[in-house]
Amino acid sequence: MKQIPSACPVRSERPLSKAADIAYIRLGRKNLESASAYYQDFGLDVMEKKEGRILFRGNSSDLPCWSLEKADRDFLIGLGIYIHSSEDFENLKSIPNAEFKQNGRINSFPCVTLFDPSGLPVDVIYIPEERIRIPKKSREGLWNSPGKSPRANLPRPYDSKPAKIIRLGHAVFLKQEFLKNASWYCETFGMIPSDIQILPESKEPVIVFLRFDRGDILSDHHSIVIASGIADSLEHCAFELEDLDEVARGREWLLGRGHRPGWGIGRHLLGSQIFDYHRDPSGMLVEHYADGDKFDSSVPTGIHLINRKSLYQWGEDMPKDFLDTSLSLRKLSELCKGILSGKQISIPTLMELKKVAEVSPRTWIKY
Amino acid sequence: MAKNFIRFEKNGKIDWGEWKQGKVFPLGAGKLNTREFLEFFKEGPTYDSKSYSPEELEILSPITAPCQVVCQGANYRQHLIESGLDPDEKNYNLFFSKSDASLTSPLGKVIRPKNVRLLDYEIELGLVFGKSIKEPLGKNSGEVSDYVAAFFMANDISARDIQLPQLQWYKGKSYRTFLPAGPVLAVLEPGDFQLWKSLELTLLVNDRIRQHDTAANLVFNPEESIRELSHFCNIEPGDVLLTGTPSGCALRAPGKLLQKIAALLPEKKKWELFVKGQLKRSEYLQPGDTIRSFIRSADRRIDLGDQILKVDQES
Repeated sequence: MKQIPSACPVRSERPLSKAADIAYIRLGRKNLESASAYYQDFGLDVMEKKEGRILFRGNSSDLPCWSLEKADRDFLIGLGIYIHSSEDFENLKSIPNAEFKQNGRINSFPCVTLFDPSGLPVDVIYIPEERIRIPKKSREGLWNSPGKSPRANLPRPYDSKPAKIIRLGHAVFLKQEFLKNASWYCETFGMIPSDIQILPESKEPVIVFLRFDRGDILSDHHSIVIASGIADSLEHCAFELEDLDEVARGREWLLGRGHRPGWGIGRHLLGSQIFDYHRDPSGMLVEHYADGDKFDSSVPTGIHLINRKSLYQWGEDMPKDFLDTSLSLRKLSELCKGILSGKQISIPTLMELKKVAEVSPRTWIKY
Repeated sequence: MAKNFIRFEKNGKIDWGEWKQGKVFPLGAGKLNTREFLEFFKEGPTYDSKSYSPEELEILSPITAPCQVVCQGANYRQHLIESGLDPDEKNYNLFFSKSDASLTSPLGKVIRPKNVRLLDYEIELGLVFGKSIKEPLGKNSGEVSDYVAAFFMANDISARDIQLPQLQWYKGKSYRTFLPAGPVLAVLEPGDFQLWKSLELTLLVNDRIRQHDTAANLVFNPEESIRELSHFCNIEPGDVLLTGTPSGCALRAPGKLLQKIAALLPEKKKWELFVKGQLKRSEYLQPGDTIRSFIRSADRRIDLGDQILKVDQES
């Protein structure tokens, strides 16, 4: 008999804090040199290079948004989140197990490290609002449109170089325990589910797109995404670029340098971004995007069926290997470990998810 | 693009307002019924400069009594199967009616009558008529969509232990508070009507998804349903049609074999067994439950708002 599905993550009425934005991602890498070269081609700027750690930043801020750290395997170490309210920061400091660092971890702002339900370290960085620089549009007036030609008598400038990354936009985490983790981000940081995707048969929620609640101030449709997965891991990170032209230029540069493409260029359905995915030397997906949705706190949650077709409005057909549904030994052992340690993992849910992920969308596309 | 309106009460006064980007802009229209509001809107309303957040207002149903409430049953394929009907054998469009006394606020209470134990939910896409229909709409009567002025969300609350054993659909579906409607009256502009196909319907009980489907999966589409309705029903502006509910209600038909055995039993015994069987199902609404529902398209071009209802026991 079919079970009633698990609860959906919901906006918390009394969150512990209201956080402002995603700050950084920390990655362990076996080969720091190749990773560092890759991310410079990808469009990030090196801002600090030490024994065992390289920090990168985008163009909108002098604060690091990407940390590559020497490790014996390629994996996600942790993430950082900005918070503007000192009162909220004090609240989070008093959580049991929270670790406070007055001088920060990868920048000099006070930081408290919490652990999400799957044990991932989450650094909360207290930073005054005015410290976050808002990027200025740098290439105004360069787009001709029907009836309007601001670029009169001028060809488009030809520049071959890496895309100009504005900022880290979002990160997508796979979690063995979906609801526990999704609810934790809502309750701890006041995040709002913008859209939730559910399985067609069981109606079980498996993906939630979370945005920060900044009241009337607009925030990205999603800054953190939690999805059901066989093992706890980072699925991909996405970086915001100025426009479609930058996205395409970034692609041109990366492919010209011999790097592996992921999937793109296309436009997503939920979040609306123009996207382009690439793979770093470890095989991890990283995304360039532009023109994503911005919501204030008034926009309510949407619920949609999940299938591959629901991922994009237009674009290149999704490659067969884009969604990693294979069962590697490592993932199997993670799964066993999770089950043995008593985690709430639903095997039928994972099986149904694998099934829908394998149904090819847009069979009418022939190459 | 469709314009969203809500009807509300503030400081004891009823008014209408446009609901835009999370805020309500009052129109100063006063206490108009749905039909009068649709007329008022055609005149090109003006707005006050002030706006409210919805929390400051008491939100009322944008559908007002008196009006005719026509409903369609078994109009999503999977719901047919769950209700014990064979989708390939049922080839008629099932119509029934609800009393307008059942209309209630979309942010309020559903009251379970004392004599009811099998209280069920049914999220539905509702259409509001904007033009009279006084004769059958023939093939040459132009666009049927011209008769529809607006979309809204409805919950066709049902007392299954009245509706089925007593064969009383009208009573079983018409107790007071059995038709929460709104919050949004989405007044359509040219071209909007066809967007019904992209609407996703979602209903949750205590944050668990019970119903989710896309209106594109309707068995009888709104155009053909209205055409058929015009052959046996007069319609006035402000009347509504509820287009049926997707699968996932609490009601579940007994299996084929059980139905065959039950057919041999006396009527009274059969329905006793039915109620007994259904009472085992944890899906039926209980006092204290929260029903949350919404209808919108993924691109949010049409958004009929959120209904939040608490189930209460009649005292």
